[in-house]
Amino acid sequence: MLNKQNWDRLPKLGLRVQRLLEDAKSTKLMAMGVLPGSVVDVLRKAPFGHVYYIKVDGQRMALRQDELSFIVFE
Amino acid sequence: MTTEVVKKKLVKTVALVGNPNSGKTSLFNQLTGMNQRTGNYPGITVSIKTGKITKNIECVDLPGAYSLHATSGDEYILTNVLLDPEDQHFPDLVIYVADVTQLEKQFLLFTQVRDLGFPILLVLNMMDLADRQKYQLDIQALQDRLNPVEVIPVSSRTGAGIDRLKQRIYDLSGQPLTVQTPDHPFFKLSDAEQEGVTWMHDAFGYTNPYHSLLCLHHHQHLEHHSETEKAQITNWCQEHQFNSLRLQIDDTMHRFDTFEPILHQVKSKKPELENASDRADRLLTHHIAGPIVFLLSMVVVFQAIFSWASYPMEWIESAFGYASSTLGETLPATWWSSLLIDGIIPGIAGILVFIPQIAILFFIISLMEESGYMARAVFMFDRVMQRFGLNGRSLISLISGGACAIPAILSTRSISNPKERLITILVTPFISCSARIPVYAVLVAFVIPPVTIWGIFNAQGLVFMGLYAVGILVAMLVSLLLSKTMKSQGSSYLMIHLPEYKMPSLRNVSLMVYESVRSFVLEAGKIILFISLILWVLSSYGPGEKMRLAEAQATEQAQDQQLDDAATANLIASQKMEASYAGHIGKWMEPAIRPLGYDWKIGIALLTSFAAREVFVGTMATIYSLGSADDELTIHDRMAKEVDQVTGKPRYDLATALSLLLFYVLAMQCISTLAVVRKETGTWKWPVIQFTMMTGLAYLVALAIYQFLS
Repeated sequence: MLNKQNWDRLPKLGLRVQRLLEDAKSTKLMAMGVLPGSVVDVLRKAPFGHVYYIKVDGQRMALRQDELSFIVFE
Repeated sequence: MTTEVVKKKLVKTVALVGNPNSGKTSLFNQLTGMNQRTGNYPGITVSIKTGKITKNIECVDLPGAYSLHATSGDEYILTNVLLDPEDQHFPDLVIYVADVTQLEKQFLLFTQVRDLGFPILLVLNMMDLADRQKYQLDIQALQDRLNPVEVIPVSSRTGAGIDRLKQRIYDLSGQPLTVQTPDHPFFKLSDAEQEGVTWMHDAFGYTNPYHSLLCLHHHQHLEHHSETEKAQITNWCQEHQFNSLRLQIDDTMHRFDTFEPILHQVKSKKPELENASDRADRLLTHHIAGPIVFLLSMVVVFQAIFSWASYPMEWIESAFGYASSTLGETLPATWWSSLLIDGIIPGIAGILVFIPQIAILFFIISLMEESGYMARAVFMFDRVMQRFGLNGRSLISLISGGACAIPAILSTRSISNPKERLITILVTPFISCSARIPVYAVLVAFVIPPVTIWGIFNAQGLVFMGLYAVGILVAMLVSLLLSKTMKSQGSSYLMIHLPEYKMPSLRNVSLMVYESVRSFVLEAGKIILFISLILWVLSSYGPGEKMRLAEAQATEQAQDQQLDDAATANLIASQKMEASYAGHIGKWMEPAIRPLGYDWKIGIALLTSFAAREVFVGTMATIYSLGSADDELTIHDRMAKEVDQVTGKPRYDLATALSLLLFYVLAMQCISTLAVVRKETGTWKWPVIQFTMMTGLAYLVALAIYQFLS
């Protein structure tokens, strides 16, 4: 179900959100401004991994890996 | 009854609603000043602040949320309040606070609150930052598009625009305010939703369609629906295959589709450039430099709480000590003067002495919160903390616990997941606090002499570090265990915004320090004072005539040995302590603590340590009739001479001393902490569990160590 994506090589810039998987977490992601069509930059990984520093349409936020995996990119 | 109805109409409730970090709380501070109080919402640990704008206008700072489709416990508070007209915080007027630098993210909740029909003022906050970023926003155009919602630009940091906002609040509060479904809502009902809304109208009489829709989606979490009603709604949803999750996502998407074009028209796009916050984060969140900078700054924090606080703490202690001794010389020696001098004054001193540490910690924590750095620390350490069932924010509490568990536990308020917050509260006292240091200092010499190992390390220093390490290790293991066994309420989220770095506002920082000190003194202070008085009774009174006999015997003995006045007084105090209820409890406890290597004298010290751990040293001084506890070396010498009457060996050998040290590392021996846990969790259940868990574990470990070594 979860969306496996390789986040080893960072930063990844200019990713476009296609859709979000159906889950309560997606509702919260959307409320924070992660929407279909948003441009996402995944800038860096947290020192101990599993958490990512990202920018969504220029807004900075931190997402856990499992939270990020609810986003489907184009 | 009638007076209540009249009062309800006279006093208007104005609620601040908005996303987390929208500057809601600083606006609340601007509007209410010092006239505020914090109350806990029943059953949930996140607190709601209320304050007065004028005598007739009450202001409520509702918990921040991104959407009325709530996903965590604190977000459900907002949904609950806004959907229940009977709720004590149900607003007559909503002030929607939006951070103008992130307008898109703030509009989802705004449109939802608007569709519920509340009279609403849209406050665009942080205009000062927007100006600096050369941000162009046509406020008049926005006002025209959102009509009849009024738009007011302010800066809660500089205070610009606040007067105009206050004026509008006064004006509107004078008028009759009613909830009215807007003519042009931001949602469009699908067929399935329309069917549900119609049914809700027939079943419960709800007139606002969005209100009905939210009740359908979230009925399980709404407190104004009875269990029967919840079952009824659940049934309807199942029968009609109401796909709640899908429809919530559709609702959210439709809202963005509706308001984004509006915002595009009123806002000029700013160029995407790397700004100062981005450059700072390259270093501050760097995978190697980031944690180093954080840990270094924590060393400073620890140092601050530990050493800066020691001066005001000494002043407080010596002021109260001076008051006690002066009163002791002037007042007659009666029970009430003893109650005052040995009970009430030390009790109050024991509360006030924590104020410097609490104030300094909250000063630093609010600087971190206000500047935006806290969110970065959470980002960096969330993973490590998660492995142990905690949250990134738990780290701050655990580190602060090294100075004092009380401010540390107060600082867990920023953890929004209730389970993670509770575990943090439960394990923080395992971290060795500054009160344990005097005890460690007296006992460590019995474990190892002050020799130097490998040329550089002080052996006693290493044992000290070992004791700290045991505390940290046990805290992490226990949280791992608790996270596996405790029921989870809602799932764990990180998902936090990393805001622009900004200069903290002095006003907010000082209000936070003031508020935390005040709530500690008033709420935890009562309990601390009460238990200090019980301990005073236990150590000043004894059964029957025993106390007087002990005093007479000691006086006689002193005359035989031709002791001077001071030595006589010390001997009397020691004998009276033995004859008191505390002494009896110590002897009664002896069979239970014997297997740990302790006698009744240590028993008394354990009992009185319950007021605060450092009392151990003072009690030992009294029991061994040394009078004052000024010199730890004197106490150590006296204790070293003590012989076990059963075995004939030195009383404080390696086994006993190590067992006692580990007991002090692990046991819950601080009423002040228990009082704060009671206050923060809202029930006695958790302090009782915490006490049992910590002291039980301490007992078992001390038992194992003593039995193994002796």
